[in-house]
Amino acid sequence: MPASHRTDGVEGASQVSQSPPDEFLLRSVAGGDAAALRLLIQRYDRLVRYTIFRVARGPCQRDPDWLDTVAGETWTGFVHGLSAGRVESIGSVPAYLVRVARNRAVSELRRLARADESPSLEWHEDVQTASAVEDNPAEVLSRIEQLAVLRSCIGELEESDRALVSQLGPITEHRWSMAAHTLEMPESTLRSRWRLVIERLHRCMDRKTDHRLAPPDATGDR
Amino acid sequence: MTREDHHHEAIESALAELAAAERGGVFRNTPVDAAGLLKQSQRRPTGGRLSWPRWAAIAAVVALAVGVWSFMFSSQLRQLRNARNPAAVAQPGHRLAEAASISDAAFVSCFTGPGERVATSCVPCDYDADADVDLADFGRHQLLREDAVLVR
Repeated sequence: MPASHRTDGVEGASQVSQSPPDEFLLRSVAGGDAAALRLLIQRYDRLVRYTIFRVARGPCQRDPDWLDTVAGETWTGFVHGLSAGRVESIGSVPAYLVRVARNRAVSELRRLARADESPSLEWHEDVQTASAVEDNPAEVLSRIEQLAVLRSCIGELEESDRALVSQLGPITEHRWSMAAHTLEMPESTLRSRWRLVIERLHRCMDRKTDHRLAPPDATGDR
Repeated sequence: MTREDHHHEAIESALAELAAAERGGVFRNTPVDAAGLLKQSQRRPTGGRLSWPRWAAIAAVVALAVGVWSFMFSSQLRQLRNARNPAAVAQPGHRLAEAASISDAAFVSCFTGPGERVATSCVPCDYDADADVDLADFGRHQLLREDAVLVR
């Protein structure tokens, strides 16, 4: 399905056939149409935010407002680019947005690292990680869509199963006894129920997407 | 590793990624004032098409540059002409009209020779303003007189 007709995850699936194509929205935004801009933001904001998160997950997790700021700057840059008459040169909107978002995040990280009077090792690592993350727009788009589908599948789980998912950290680190203690259930029960939850999520994702979940790559997806 | 294990691992890793993304605020909405942003960008000077105030500013700068250049060029021309005609380098007060008003006889009566102080009434004859009326002044007087006759 072309990106121009796709909306985020499953929430917007019912709008698929009614969404205007990206090119039409671009021209409308260049002509000053705020509604078209809102639609584009609604369509691609998650992509922009996930791109920034992939590039700079340290700063995002330390301060989620940082992500808001960089994403806001990305949209500002995007609109200024359109107003400067670059509609023709943009090409694919998601690919362009991934590029702009990545560059914004990297330059903001560098600026912060420079502004820090005593640059910590943390900043240094953030900048290095950011520069190493590749910006394959198709991959980023596919990954964020998978996450959105997974999120919606979790929403469909029963309350007790969602409680298990909330113990994801200890479980994936194989600290079963700790998770079992928190959830007040025997460890063996937790293990078997966890397996069931994963299978349910797997079936749900198969049902909602055409392809199975791919394992993460080595470019910072973990 | 079985295929089932592989799927389980993929889901677990996606769950971990999702949890990290949730903590990092990926699923929040970016606060963007679409209308305000569009207004701001339309006021912003563009790199492509130029608005009329920018055209006007560019035209003003070009006109100023042409004015400065022509002024400098004309003063250079004047200097060149003066180099060929020493009489024209006379003091500002000594223009053609003044030279025409000083008769040869009046000039001769003011003639002091080099280094001799000139009388106040004879200052107009001191074309090179070196405080005397000598042969250098006489040469210039003659050239200016000739020009004055030609103009008439």
